Amino acid sequence: MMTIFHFEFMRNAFLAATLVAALGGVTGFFLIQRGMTFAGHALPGIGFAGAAGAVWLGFSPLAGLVVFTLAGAGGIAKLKGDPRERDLHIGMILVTALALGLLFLSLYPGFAEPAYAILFGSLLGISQGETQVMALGSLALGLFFVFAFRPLLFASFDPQAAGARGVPTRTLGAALLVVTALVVALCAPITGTLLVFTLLVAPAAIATRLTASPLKAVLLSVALAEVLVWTALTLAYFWNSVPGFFVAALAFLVYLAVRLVEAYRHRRVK
Amino acid sequence: MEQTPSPPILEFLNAGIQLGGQVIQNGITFSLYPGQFVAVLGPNGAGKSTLLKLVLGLLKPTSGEIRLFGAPPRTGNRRIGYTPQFSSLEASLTLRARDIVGFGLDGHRWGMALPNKIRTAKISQALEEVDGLHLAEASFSELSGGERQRLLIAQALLSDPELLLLDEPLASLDLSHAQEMVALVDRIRRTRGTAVLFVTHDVNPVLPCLDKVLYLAGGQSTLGTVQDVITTDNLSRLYGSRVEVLQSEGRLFVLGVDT
Repeated sequence: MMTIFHFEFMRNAFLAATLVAALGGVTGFFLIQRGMTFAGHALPGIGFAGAAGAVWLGFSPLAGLVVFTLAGAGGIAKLKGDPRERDLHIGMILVTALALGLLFLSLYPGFAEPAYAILFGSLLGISQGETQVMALGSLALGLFFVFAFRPLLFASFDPQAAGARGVPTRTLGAALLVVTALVVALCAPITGTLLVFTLLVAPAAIATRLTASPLKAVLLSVALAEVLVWTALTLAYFWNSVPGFFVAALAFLVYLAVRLVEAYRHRRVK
Repeated sequence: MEQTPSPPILEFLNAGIQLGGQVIQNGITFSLYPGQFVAVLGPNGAGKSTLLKLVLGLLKPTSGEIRLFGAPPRTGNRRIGYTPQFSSLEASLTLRARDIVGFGLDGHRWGMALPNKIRTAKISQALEEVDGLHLAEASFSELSGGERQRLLIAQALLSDPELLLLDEPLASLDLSHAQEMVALVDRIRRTRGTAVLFVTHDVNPVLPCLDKVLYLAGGQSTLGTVQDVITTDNLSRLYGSRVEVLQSEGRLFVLGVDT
C-alpha cells in the first residue's frame, strides 16, 4: 500500500488533490447557500474557452483561464432578476463561451495539447513548484472564507436585514464569484475544467443533507471531498486509470445513498 | 394609550416615496412615540414596505425629511430591529434556528461565530422571549411559517431595539396563529417598551393592541385611531373612489378595494 507514496509524482498528486478538495468543499458550501451552484458549473466551462483562446494566440493557457473566469465572474455578478432568469443568462454565457472554445481549438493549427490539458487536467503530472503555488493560493482563498463566513451567510439568508445592518451584500456576492473564479483557475489545471465542479458541488451537496449547522456542514464538506479524492487517487493508481472518473462516480454514489436513506427514513416517519 | 410627553422616536415630515421611478407617496407626515403600536395599512404597492426601508436607511425620501431618534436614518442602526417579508428570505439554507437568531447579535461582523457561552446564552434568552427555545437546534427550512416568524422577531430583539419594524409578519399565518403572533408582539412591546411599526394587509388581528393606524392609499396617507381612520368617508377620500367600511362583531371589513 505504501508503495503509492514511493513516487514523487504521487506525493505531489496527493498534496495537490488535498488542497483542491479542501477549496472545492468550502467554496461549494457557499455557492449552495447563495443558490449559485450553476455559476460554479459555468465558470470552469468559460475558463476552458479562455485557455483555448490563449493557446491559439500563443499565450499561456493558464493566463487565458484566469482572464476568462474572472470576466465570467464579473458578468455573472452583474446579472439581476430572479434566480430562474439569472440561471438562464448564465446558461447563455456558458454556451457562448463553449462555442468560442470550440472555434479557438479549430483555429489552432494542429492538436492544441495545452488546451486539452486544461480541459482534462493532469493530476499525476504536477511539479513540486506547482504544488507550492497551490498551497499559497489555497491559504489566501481559505482566509477569505474565514473572514466572510458570517456576513456572507447572513446576506445569503436575508439580504434585506443584512443590508439594514450594514453588511455590503452586493459586494460580498460579487466577491464570492471572484473567489470562485480563482478557485477554478487554481484547480482546473489539476482536475481539469470538466471535473472542477464535481468538487465544487458534490461534497457540499452531500454535507448540507446531513447537518443543519453551517460550521459542521463546511467541515463535513471538506472531509467528504478529501475522502473522495484520496479514494479516487488510490483506485486510479492501482487500476492505472483516470482519478477524475472515480471522484465523480464516487460522489454520485454517496449522494444517491444519502438521498435514498433520507427517503427511507421519511417514509418510516410517515 | 394617551400620548406620552417624551419626544417622538420617528418623524416623517412631508416625506415623498418613489418606487421604480414612480411617485407612490408624495408627502407622508406622522410621528411615532416610544412604546406605541402602529399598524401600517393599505393596498399592494401603496409603499408600506418601502416606508420601512426608508426608516432603515436603505432608501432615501425623494422629498421632505425623516428623523429617526432625532437624526436622518442610516444603515447599521442597532436601535431598530427589523423583520422583512418572508418572500425575500432564502429558507432552504443550511442554518439552524440558533444561527438565524444569532445574526441579530453579530451577523454583520466579519469572521466566524465561534462557540462561546455568553453568545449562546444571549441567543437562548431571545429564543425564550418568543417561546422558541425548543426550536434552537432545528433546521430553519423544516419549521412552520409561524415558527420562522418568531425566530425572525427573536433575531430583531437581540440588539435591544427601541423600535421594531415588522413587514407583514402575519402573511402565511392562519387566523389563530396570527392572533398568537400579535399577542407575542404586544407582550414584547409592553415588557420592553419597544415601539412597533406593524405592516399588515388585515387590520383585524391587530385591533386589540393598536394605538394608531397609518393608512397609505392613492398616494396619500392618514395617521390616527382606528375609529378615525378606517371610516367609509376617510377611506373613500384616500382611494379616490367609493369604499365601504362595515363593522361586524368587532371586526372591520373594507369593501370595494383589493387590500
